[in-house]
Parts: sequence; structure tokens; C-alpha cells
Amino acid sequence: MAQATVIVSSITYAMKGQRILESRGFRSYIDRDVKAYGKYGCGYCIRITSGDPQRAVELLREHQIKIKEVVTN
Amino acid sequence: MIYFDNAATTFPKPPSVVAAVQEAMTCYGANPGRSGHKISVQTARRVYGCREKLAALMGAPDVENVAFTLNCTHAINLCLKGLLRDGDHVIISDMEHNSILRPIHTLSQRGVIDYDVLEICEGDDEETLRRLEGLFRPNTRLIAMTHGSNVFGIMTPIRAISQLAREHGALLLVDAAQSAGVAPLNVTEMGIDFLCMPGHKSLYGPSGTGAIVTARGELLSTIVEGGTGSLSLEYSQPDFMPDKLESGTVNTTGILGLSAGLDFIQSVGLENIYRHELDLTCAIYDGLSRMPGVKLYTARPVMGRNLPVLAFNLEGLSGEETCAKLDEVGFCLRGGFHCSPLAHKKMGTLDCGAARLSLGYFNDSKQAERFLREISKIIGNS
Repeated sequence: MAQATVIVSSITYAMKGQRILESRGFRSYIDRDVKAYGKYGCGYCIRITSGDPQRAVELLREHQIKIKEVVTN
Repeated sequence: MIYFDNAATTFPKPPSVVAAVQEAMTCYGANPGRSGHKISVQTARRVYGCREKLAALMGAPDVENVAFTLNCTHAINLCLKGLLRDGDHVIISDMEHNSILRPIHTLSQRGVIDYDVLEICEGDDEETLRRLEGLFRPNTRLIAMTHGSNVFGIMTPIRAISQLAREHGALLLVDAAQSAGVAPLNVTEMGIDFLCMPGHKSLYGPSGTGAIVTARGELLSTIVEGGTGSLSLEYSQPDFMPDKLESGTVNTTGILGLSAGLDFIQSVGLENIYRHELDLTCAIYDGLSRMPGVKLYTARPVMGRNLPVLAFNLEGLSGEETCAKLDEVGFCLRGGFHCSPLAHKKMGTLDCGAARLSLGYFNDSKQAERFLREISKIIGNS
């Protein structure tokens, strides 16, 4: 189960974000966030499944990944 | 059939590119970046992989600096029409392909911009730069320039031009139609604001592919808006790269083929490709230069100054006629004006055009030798 869901602006940012997290030892996968669908329209999210989610989000922001919302579980 | 028309498009493609296209059609047929099902995400991953490779090859700071287009002309038009405003002044070179000349001329005819044409002095960068310096105006917004002529192979001193552009507060757009995949390019080190390229020439991708590589995407207004698979509820086009410049479904099959083309270049080595093609070009140049009745238009090609593109004419024949005769004996070259009226005007070939040979990685010395024999026969029979 994902520890945090990072909703991003586009598939490209989702892919880039996942690469960044992988390089730092975080495990994650790319998904559509059905719950947020109505809020942002079409978009993707990165579901973080291992590692400190707060640090993961910080990392993404440091790399200018355009984040719409973070949902922690 | 011996294909010497790689400046038009490369042929053959590496077998890995053909395989990648087939794999794309059979395994990665979903629309990338549109749906959440596995095939869509897997396809998107492959497209992203191509973006990564191109960003790395071109020295882009970020992956999202790469926007896929349909070809180089499309890329150039998106940049020129997205960037230029009323009252801007633009400098182009006297070797430009119509992909730069026509949109610039059209904008000028509409009264949007003014432009000047810089004379490129072959073998004398100092003089070229001196002339460029004289063309700048307070309202010079952009230098839009080919990296190398698609007819005569002469390269422009892009690094030095970039420096001059910066000193005058102007931006630099480079048309890398003939150099991407042959000569080294790095948007960061070379100070290129907008780098436009086709995927189907020396990047060995299929036709219908191209790219803009830019870290200045924020400067471009969009001229095509539409579905991007992102922020769909917003009426406005996304303002971030690459979505901003990629409306509608991308040429997924083409991009996956292009990705394999980039792998091919990586495996062979850019410098090895360039050296191989230029060595062959020089061998042909040397052979032609010894034949009476052959007119050549440039100095002997040199790495860093010339691309593997060579124009010539045979006495008494137009460029088209020469190419027609070569076609009869199995050689594929392009004759005529090569969509480059400025280049032909520069070299004095507006009346007869020229025959152009443009080599690729899969050409070899045996083909070059046979070519020279055939030229010799044509001259002998004239």
C-alpha cells in the first residue's frame, strides 16, 4: 500500500519524479489518481511505497517536479 | 540501388529501428500519457525514455526541455511563430533552408518583423562574425540559423554566434536538420536557446518525428493548443514543458523508433559516425576534383567545418539531369534547388541547381568508388 500519493501535472513529471525517487532508493509506481480525478482533470500520480514520504516529496520539489497535491495515507 | 540522399532522410534505418517500430505497433499501441491502464503507462515510459536520451545527447539541463514534433520544419515554426512579436528584427544566414526562410519571410511580408541575411564566409569565421556584428539593431530579437547547409555542407560557427547574440541581448535558434546525429551539439555549452531537429535524418528515426530542445520554453506562446493529457479541466493550454508544445497524440510509433535510433548512435559513437561519413565525402570530393567537367563549390571538407553533404555539377547538365542519369545506374541523389534558394543564390547555381550527394553511416568506400566510375562515364558520354 502506498505511503503517500503525489499528484503531479503531467505524465512527464510523473516519470521524471519516479526516476528521481528510484535513484535515491525510494520505491514508487505511477498511477492515475481516481479520487483526485474531478479536482485536476486528467493527470497522474506517483505512489510512494517505501522510504520516508516527507523526504521523498522534498526531493521532488527540489527537482522542480510540478506537484498539485500530496495525499498521505 | 545505392542511396546517397541521406540529407533528405536516412535510408536504410538500422535494423534495431525497424524492430522497434514493429514492437511499437504490436506491444506499445496505447496512447501515452492519456490513460491509467498498464499499456498506456508502459508506452508513456518508452516515450519518456526517448526524451531522456535526446536530452542527454543534446546537453539539455532537463528531460522536459525536449518536445517532440512532426519534423524539423514543424519545430522551427513552433519556435519562430511562438517567439516573434511586432517590431522584432531577425538575422538569418545566406544558406537557410525554406524551413527558416519561408516563415521568416512570411512574418516579414505580414509586417510583423524585419530580417537581414548574413553572408557566411566559408573558412573565415572572423569575417562572418564581423559581418554579423554589423547587422545587429536595438530590436534584434533572434538569430535563426542553420548549423550546416543542406546543399553545400558548410557549417556556421554557432558557438561564436551564440556569444555575439548574448552580447546583444538576442536569442539563438539553430536549425540542426543536417547536423543532429552527426556533429556534436550541446544546447547548454553552445548557448543555444532553441534547437530544432528532425528525427528521421541522422538520428535514424522514422519520418514524422522531430524535436525542439529548449530550456527557454517559457518564452514561447503556443500556436497549437489542444489535448495534452494533463490538467484537462483547464480551458487554457498547460504552460509547462513539454505539454505546452505537444498538443494531440504524439507519433508514438515514430518516437519509439527514434529511441532505437538514438541507441544506435550511442553504440557507434557520434564522432565515429561523423568521421566515417566525412572521410567518404572527402574521398568522393578528391575523385571529383580530379575530373575535368566537374564543378565543385566548396573547399575540401574538414571536420568541424563541413557536414557530409556535397553539391556538384557536370558540365552541360543541370543538377536534375545529372541525378536522372545517376538514377539510371542505381544511384539516389537529389538534384535541383533543395528547398534552399538562398544557398543556391550564394553559390551562383540559381540557373542550373546542383546535384547533391549526402552520405550516411551505411555508405561505404566501394559505393564511393563505383560512384566516381559512373560520373566518369557520364562525363565521357557527354
